[in-house]
Amino acid sequence: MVKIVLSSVIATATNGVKEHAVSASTLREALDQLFATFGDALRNKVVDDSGNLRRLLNIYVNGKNIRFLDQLDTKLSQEDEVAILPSVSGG
Amino acid sequence: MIFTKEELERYSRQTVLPEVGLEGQERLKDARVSVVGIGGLGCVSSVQLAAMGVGYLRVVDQDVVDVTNLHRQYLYDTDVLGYPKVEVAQKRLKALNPGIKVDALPLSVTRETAGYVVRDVDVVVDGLDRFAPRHAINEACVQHDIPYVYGGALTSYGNVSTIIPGRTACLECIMGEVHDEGLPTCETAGVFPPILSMIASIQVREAVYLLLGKEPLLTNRLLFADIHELELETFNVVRRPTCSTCGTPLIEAKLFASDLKIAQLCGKNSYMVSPKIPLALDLDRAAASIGSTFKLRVRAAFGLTFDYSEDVSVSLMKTGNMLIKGIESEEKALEVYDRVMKTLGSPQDD
Repeated sequence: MVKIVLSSVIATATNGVKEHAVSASTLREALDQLFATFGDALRNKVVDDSGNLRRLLNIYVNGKNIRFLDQLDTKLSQEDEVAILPSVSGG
Repeated sequence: MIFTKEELERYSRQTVLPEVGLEGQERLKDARVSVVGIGGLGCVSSVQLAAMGVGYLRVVDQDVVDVTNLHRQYLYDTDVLGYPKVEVAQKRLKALNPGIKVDALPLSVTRETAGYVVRDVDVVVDGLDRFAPRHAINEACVQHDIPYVYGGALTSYGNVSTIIPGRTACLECIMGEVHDEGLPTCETAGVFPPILSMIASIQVREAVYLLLGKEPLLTNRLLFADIHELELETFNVVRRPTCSTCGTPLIEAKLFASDLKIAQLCGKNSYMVSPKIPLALDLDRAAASIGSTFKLRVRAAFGLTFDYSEDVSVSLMKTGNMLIKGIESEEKALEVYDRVMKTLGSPQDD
């Protein structure tokens, strides 16, 4: 199973659930399963109307930013860990 | 004893801590830190670093004090509206601790100026509010081999990561090219002041541990703190061997001829080709690649010299600068540059 870990600010759309396991071979599949479980509030937080990752979010697969992999088409293996959190610019 | 009686008393509540002690206090006194951005984060971190006795602080900011800063930027008060932040910060920090030196640098941080910000310091602490200057600082820190404690905060949450060039993921590895346009800012999204103290305190923890010669905790980790939920989470991040900032140099699109400067040197048939943005080459890997193709003559800490051909000698610096001797035109120089950089090899895939 692929483990998806959500930061607290994303987990506001999952009633506080911060870890969820899915069976998926790509990141897009994994997210679709996640959205199917937790609904549109989560979908809207993570992707825009065109289905692209929102710009202020980063997704890491085993610590690698998917911007350097194949974005949402990044292939996943069992045991992979996917983390979703915002990049924070202010200061 | 390098401390005066007043200093021993001033720092007595921290020198009693086993992790500091007098030896640690001496390290702090000898330390040099640049706090870049003296806003919500930088006000807190610079006060903590000054109060703890870091011997040299450089405070960097381009801005003047505005009334909208006052709810969260504790170095400034109503009397100094319109004053340069660095000027006020320098004065207040010196008043807080007259035993330290504080330099004020009223500067906009860009790729061109970042070298001045990070020059000759032991650690850079981030107090910036946008990614563009952060990437400039990240690159300068990688180039000059200076640890950089990234921090950001907005609304009720924030990030921290400790970047040690050559050892850990850098900001580019972690964030990639995030552009600032359209991202929420303090002005549009707001900021809950306590998150700033929390993030800045964690940054100071990391910076001080580095100065004390202890291991920081947030290397190859991205901390996410949420003061609304009172959550502290850490996520693993990994260094990219092919990172355009901290990895082995890539040929990719980054090194087209338009990204290079070329100059003929005084010596006959000598050219210097240099990337407009300095690289941070991994010379161990470069030496291995070069040595398998060309005759390597010198393997020094900052560069390699080798025979490109019978008549052409090349010196390649860590920064990507290449001195080429024995060629007759710029075109040839660029050909040599291109071939050598390709020899460095297709980088390993991540």
